[in-house]
Amino acid sequence: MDPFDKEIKEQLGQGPFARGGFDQRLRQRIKDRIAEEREGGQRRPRTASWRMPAVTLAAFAAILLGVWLWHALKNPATLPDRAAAPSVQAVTASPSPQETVQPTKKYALLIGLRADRNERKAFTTSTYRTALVAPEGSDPDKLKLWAENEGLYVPFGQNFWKISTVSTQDGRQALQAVQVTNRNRQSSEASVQIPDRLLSERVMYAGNTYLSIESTVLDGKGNSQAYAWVKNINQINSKGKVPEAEPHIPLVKLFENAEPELAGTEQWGISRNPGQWVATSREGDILATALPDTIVKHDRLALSWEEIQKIEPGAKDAFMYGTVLGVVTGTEIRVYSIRDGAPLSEAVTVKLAGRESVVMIQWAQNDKIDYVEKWINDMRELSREQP
Amino acid sequence: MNSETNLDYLKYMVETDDPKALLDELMTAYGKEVWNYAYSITRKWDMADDITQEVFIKVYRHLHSFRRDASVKTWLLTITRNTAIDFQRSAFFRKVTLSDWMEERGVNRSVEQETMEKWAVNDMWALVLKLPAKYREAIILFAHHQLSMKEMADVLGVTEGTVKSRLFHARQKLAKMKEMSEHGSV
Repeated sequence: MDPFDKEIKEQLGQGPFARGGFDQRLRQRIKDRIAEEREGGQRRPRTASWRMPAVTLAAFAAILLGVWLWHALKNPATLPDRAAAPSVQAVTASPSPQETVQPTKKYALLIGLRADRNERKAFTTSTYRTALVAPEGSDPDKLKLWAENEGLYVPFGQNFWKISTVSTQDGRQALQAVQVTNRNRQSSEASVQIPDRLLSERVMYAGNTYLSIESTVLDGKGNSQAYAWVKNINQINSKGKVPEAEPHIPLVKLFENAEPELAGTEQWGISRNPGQWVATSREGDILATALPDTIVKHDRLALSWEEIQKIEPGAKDAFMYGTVLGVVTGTEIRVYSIRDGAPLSEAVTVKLAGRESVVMIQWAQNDKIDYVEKWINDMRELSREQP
Repeated sequence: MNSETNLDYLKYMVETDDPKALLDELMTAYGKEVWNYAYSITRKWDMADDITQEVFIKVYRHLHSFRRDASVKTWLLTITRNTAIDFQRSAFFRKVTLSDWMEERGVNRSVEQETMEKWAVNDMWALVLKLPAKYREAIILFAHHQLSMKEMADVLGVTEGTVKSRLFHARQKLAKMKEMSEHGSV
């Protein structure tokens, strides 16, 4: 052997670092993730005949191509971007589940919707509503539409916050966040000062403690300019007098390993792509499809698009956790209880209005605390307080 | 690092038809290799973690699509490479591409990259991690994972001739870097 080859092999024989990257922590993380998916309707690998690795890779490629084409057909204008950022999460599904799902585990799905209006042409104003689908009674598979409340109700910690709009006399619109459960009555009605330059604010995403906001403002020449901000829910009521002063979360705060070129990104957003949430630039280009848990905790489909389209041939988007699958068609969201990869009963339907889109998907389960029951009670209580 | 020995082992495990046990054993046998390869491609610790996780989840789902007479290690490393490419495309696709382009010209080095190189277990690893991606991958598959030319060609999706060419250039670059290093130039 060439002496240099020998030296290279000797020195590279061990791993690159004294501290190995594959440790017990990562091993447990993988096991937990698989256990979570199995509980959510994933399947045990089939005991079918062995196939060539190339077939596996070809299958991955075929599914990837399918998702790519689906994206492209849905939004041809953004074809290059979508093609460059195929959905990792949307291609992960595989065959029907064989695993036993805990029969008593219940899941609730909270859907936030934004409907846009553009009466004034110069900027878009919006209305919001929140729908809760959860089991009725003790049967986790008997789903019911429990509430359709006006406004965007965001679960944050043990409480709900309501994101609503406040308008000026000339029709400009800003967002307001108010804690609406367990609230301190004296401090709950946060006042919002709408700066003169602000034309409108729209929620593009809400989840955990973060909201992605599109803010339209007038520049010095009287032209409208759109800005993209990710904010903590506590920053919603604060409006900067100039865009540079707008309270927000820089990208690097949530993506600690961002490339240096992106580390200085102040304006960015989170928006819905078929099957997943993605991080986008101010211009709408996809920056990342793998979002940290701090932004989106559950955003993985346990069924393949093929399986979802068998259930709903007109599926345009889907989300799933535990045994609950939500499928967006052109005119409605159909929510199913899924066992062994198949729906158990008729779907619960949330009708969609024109220009209405999903901006929030949140999940609850009956763990040590029965959050499903808590959400049902809270949302029903909040619906009674509606004007 | 004899993959054939481990192949026998996998065959035995599959016959037990216990995918969780098989996954566990695969992680024991190949977890470090998958992570090291993922890190070698991305040079990002967190991304190597995420890729390794995704690889073993994919493996778990597709255990039975593995061909009995194939090399387990080659199969895993191929999945690792494809997953890493997916991650790089989806997460900061343009910027990763841009930084690779700049790196080829020696004009861009991230702080993370420099830090990781300082933590490298020896000088050779530190030098290898500075190689451009295609040479880095080739030399690591050759020297760390100890694959044959045929296996390397399969993993990289190129011909054996291309593998040999990349290894040749990788050795040349490494030798030059080593020489410069010894003279305090790197």
